[in-house]
Amino acid sequence: MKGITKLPTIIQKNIKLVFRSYSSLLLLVLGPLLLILLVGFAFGGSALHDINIGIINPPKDVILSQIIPSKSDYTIFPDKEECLLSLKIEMHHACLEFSEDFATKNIEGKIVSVGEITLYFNNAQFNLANKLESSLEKQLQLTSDQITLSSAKKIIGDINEAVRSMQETQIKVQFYTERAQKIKDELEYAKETMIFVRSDYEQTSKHISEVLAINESLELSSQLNDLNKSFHENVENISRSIKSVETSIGKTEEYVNNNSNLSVNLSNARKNLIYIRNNLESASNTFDSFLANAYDYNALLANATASNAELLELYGNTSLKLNQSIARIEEDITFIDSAIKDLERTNESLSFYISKFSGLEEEQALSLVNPIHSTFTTLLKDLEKISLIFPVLLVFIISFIGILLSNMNVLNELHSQASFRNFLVPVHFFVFAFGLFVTNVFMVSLQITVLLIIAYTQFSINFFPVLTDFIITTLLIMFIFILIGMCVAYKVKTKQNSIILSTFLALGFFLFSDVIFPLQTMPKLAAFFASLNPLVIGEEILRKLLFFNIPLSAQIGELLLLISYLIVLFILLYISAKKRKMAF
Amino acid sequence: MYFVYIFYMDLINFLGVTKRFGNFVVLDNLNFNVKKGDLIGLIGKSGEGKSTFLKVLIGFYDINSGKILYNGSDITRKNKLSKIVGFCTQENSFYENLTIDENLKYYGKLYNITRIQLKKRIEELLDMVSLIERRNAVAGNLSGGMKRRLDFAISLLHNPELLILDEPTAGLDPLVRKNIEELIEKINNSGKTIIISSHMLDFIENKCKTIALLSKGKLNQINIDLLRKRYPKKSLNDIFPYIVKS
Repeated sequence: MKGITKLPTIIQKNIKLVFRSYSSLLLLVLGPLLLILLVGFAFGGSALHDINIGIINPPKDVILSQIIPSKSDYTIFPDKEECLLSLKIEMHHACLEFSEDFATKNIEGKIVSVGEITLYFNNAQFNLANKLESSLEKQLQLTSDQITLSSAKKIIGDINEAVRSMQETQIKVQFYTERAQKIKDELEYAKETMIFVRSDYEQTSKHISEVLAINESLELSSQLNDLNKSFHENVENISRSIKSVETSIGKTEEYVNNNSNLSVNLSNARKNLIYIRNNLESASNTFDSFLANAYDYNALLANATASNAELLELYGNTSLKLNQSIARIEEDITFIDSAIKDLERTNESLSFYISKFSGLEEEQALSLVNPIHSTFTTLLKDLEKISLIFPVLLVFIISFIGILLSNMNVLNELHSQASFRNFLVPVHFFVFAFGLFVTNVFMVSLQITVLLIIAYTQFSINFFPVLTDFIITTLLIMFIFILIGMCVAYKVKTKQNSIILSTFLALGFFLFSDVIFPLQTMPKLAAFFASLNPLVIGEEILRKLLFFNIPLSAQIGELLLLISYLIVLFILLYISAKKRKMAF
Repeated sequence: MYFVYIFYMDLINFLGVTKRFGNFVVLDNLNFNVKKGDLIGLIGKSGEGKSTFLKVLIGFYDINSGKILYNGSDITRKNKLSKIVGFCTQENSFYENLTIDENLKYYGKLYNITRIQLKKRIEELLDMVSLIERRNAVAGNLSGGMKRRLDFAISLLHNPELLILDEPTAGLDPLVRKNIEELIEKINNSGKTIIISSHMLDFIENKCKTIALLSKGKLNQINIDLLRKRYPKKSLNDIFPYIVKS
């Protein structure tokens, strides 16, 4: 390229021109210094403060401090419209409307609020509204959680109490089951005994009945009478017979006196008859005695029979009662059996519920309230907010300074009276453009260096472990945005339009990135295009580089994309510079 | 022999030069000869293409057709004119935030002048334009006349054979204008060929030997003495409308 050796002369002149202006110099050094300090100052805080909240329809006894975030003031409004008006004129930042049924409740001795709250935000104050919404939601959620937690703890306490009661009941049930079992056994034994007794009774009764029947069938008294009569008749008959015999014998003895032998015999027969009569008398006496005894016995037997009859009747009654008792005992046994089964079932049920609920602890209330317990663990711990936003901040500053400063420098050159003469010298026009590019790189680098020094010394942002990759990336991003600013300056003829366009472009890169909205919240197509934004790519590379030491070699795709942009922009710069030359 | 003679004598020759912007023809088959040491006044109505003609002359614009000869050599496609020609634009063309010295050094380096030569050349030029005392002054702080003179000095840095001045006295007060006119004469007397594009017709009438009238894309070179003979007792200002028409 003709005159390329003159590049240092051109750059020297450009730098001299910039540094000759004290205001430019101050801007170059102080600009980034102030910018980083300002950003560091601005991003130093984290919590919301000075928030004014309007309260509509606050219920009595509501503890507002439980609901409203700390560091917030609140004003009670008589109606919603007034609060909303205050919200519109930004006197207040949110309005909280309580539902009519909003009330306080005593949970475990703690007074907590329960009900519905409607939140009104001015979403024109987008970021504040988001922050506030999240803060209030968090606060309300926290309060709600606390209430639910208290309730849950109480429920668990109640359950535990119920479990304890159930355990006691179970012990009782087991005791009563055992007792009932014993009673049942005893009843069964009693029943068996009764059945045995009943059978004995029945047998005895049967025997008595038989005896009675025999007694009845015997008619002992009449038989005795008949026997007595018959006996006495027989005795008399025999006595008569004996008398007759004696008479006969006496007649015979007279005859027989005539005959000795026969008399002896007859005497013997008499003797025998006397003996028989004596015996008969004795037998009669004995029989009378027996009969007397028999009568006595008969009387006793009659008495016994009467008693037996009574006994039988008694037996009959007792047997009936026994039957009734046995039936009742059977019923009782069935009932007790059923009761035992019920008790056993109750016992099983109690065991089931006891085992089910006995594991609950009050500490588990949190897991009941929030069954999915989430733990948010950040990859980067102990990093300040300024450190976290540093990659974004750096790329953002590079983009703005790169575009605007390079645009201004090129415009100053192009609109300077001297620029035409540059086209008359034997130096290729692109050498001037390239000289401007190098000058811009130098100046932006100077600013970024100031910024990095502040970042390193004041905010402890350490880029030294990845210095080479960090420098390469920063330079690439810088080149791209400088070239964009330069292309605009070469392309757009008027100074004002060029500055406006550069500003819009810088803003466009800023807004069409993930600085304000994450790419994931954008429509897919927009997110795709935004992902091609050099600001986004640069930020991504630096983020990975600074926070996770992921080298450029592992981010080759992003790196190649930036290099492609660079090549395209150099071509565009060449074309624009050539056209601009021709337009003179 | 005739052409040889012409080429031998002429510093620059435009032969049938045409310059178009799209379909718009600005210079139409234009012929123009500049002899060494000439002081030529370029006149023409506004919008007739004087600036385009000058830019072609300084090699800023390429021509669509025709030939440009330098000392008889065809330099049409060689872009040598920038080395031969020095150009002073209507507005000064230097960096106002640089000093006189810095401006001269900067352009001197761009013209590939060696450091020693440049130092010597700067001294000569500053002496010639009477700015040696103010060499360390920031250009923006100079007076209008001084700025003009600095511009002349820069245009002459690379020792061009032809100096083109576009409205060199525009916007200057009469005293300064006279001073500048004297400087132009001085430069011309030093052997430089000068083409002045100006509406200051009295200066052209008094100082130039030839006027080049650009009209409707054509250029007519008129000897000023012939004009005087043709229009006696009339100034160029008076006869300008006629010659433009004719």
